[in-house]
Amino acid sequence: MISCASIWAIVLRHMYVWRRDVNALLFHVYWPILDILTWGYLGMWIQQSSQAAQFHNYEMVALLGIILWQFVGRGANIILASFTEELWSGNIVSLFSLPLRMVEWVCGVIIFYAIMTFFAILVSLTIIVLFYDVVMHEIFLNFLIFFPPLFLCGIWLGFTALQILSTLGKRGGEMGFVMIWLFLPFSGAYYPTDILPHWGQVMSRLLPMSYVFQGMRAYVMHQQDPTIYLIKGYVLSALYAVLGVAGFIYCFNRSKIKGLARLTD
Amino acid sequence: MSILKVQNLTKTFTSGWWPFVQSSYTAVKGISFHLNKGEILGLLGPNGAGKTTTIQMLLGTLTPTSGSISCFGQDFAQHRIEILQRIGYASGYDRLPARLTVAENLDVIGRIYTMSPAQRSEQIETLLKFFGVWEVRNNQTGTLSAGQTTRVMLAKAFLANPDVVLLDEPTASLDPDIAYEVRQFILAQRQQRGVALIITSHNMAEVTELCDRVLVLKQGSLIADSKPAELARSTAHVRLQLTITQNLEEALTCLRAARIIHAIKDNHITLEIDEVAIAPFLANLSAQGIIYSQISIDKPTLEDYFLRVAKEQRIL
Repeated sequence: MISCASIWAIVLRHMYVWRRDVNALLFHVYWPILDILTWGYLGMWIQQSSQAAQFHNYEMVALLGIILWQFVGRGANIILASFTEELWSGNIVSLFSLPLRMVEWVCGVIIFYAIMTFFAILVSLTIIVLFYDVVMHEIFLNFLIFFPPLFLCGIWLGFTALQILSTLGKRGGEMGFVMIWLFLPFSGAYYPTDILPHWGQVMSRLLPMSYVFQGMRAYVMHQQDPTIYLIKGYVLSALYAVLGVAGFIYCFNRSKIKGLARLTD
Repeated sequence: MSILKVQNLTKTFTSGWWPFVQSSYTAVKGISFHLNKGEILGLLGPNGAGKTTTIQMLLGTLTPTSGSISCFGQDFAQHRIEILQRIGYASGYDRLPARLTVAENLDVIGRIYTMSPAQRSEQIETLLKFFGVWEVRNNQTGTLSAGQTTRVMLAKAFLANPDVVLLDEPTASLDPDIAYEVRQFILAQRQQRGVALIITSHNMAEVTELCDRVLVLKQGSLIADSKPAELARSTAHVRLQLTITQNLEEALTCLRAARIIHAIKDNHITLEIDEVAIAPFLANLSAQGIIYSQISIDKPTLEDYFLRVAKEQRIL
């Protein structure tokens, strides 16, 4: 039976670090703020300089794109860092020789990811309200509609990157972080995927994020019904999230054939 | 009563990726042993003998190639979590998260063992006070000295009042007085709660003092399963020291003729000789007019046995 105490222990284990490490906390707030200011003002400038229909409400689209990408990119980074933290602290054998099920660790990390990402989003929304002339409840409502599949995408990317780490150990750290950001250009977070070359569009069609961002753009800029995009986004992201977690558990268990101790080498 | 049974445990490591497997190496070769309730079992062997590999398999962080492990009457592969709930572990090779304080680390571990808040705080206080690290409970674990870290790891091993404790080099990097306290603690735990322990150590005196039984591994194979004193006795040679006062040269000629390994410093000779050959050897010296003023005979120890095994492994 899954133990809630063990799940909460994993959440606390990471919260204790973040509570103390102001640098780490700033790191996850600083970049979203920088993105909001850079992309937000760029969006505002594009919107004000162009009367073309495709740039209608572009400021809102740019800001939403940034907030929603937090779930995918930075969220996956949080998941990856949770495992990397155990590797670098030499705690991997000690941790998994405790009566801790892998599914409990996974749940704990996902809860921690949710807490940290919501914290970053709260800060982002506050910055948006302070710096931009957008209607708060409108951006919040749009955010609520589109965030669930992207939350699942964060889980998918995070645990897919962990498959590399649980196979290669510390040596796979950089590769894991690189892999997460590899999908950004094909996700359509900041621009429509139609602009991509043919092979890029094919790739973007395989990514659940691209449907969500496409739906968001259609809804916010052109007031079109995003349901069909959202359904595709939900189904694909849920499927990928399950595959990502299952793949990680498989890789982790396979890693025990060579021993967890070697992961810290 | 046997609470842990290991049968034909084997671990083979392969290098390279399928189908390009380049070589394989068997670290543990079909070992079988058991651990009784309240027993302290030493796991000895030179570096690379397979001790840590065996411990890792007992914890489930390394999958055996073949063989079986059962604990508390349950198959380990099937009931890993239930079994680990009753096992404590500490190793000199592992660390706890460096950025968490000592108390936070133990609190997290206590929660994973599903201890109640009251149990956690009581056990943490008792153990940290016993091991002399209560004052550093609010320090980040990464700032502790090697000795303090070892003591925190020991507190972790005994935190959930386990029935079986696996200790890999438990007193490495500890001062002698603290190491003594730790040994007394281990013996008290065994006496009061019937805890069974498996200990690996390079400190032979410690193993002799603590362990009821010793398993000796050599190149992955189990070559002995016996009491420490019996293993020491199996080393037939004793160390004989003589202080020669007259006819030193004749004494040396006599040793060389008998092909006895010896060392000489001034007029003190140290030699290794079969226990049963001592009396005839001394009679022979007297017959040749060699006079000695002091004699001491050192019984073989577990360390002598270990050195012999290690030497044989190097030769092989």
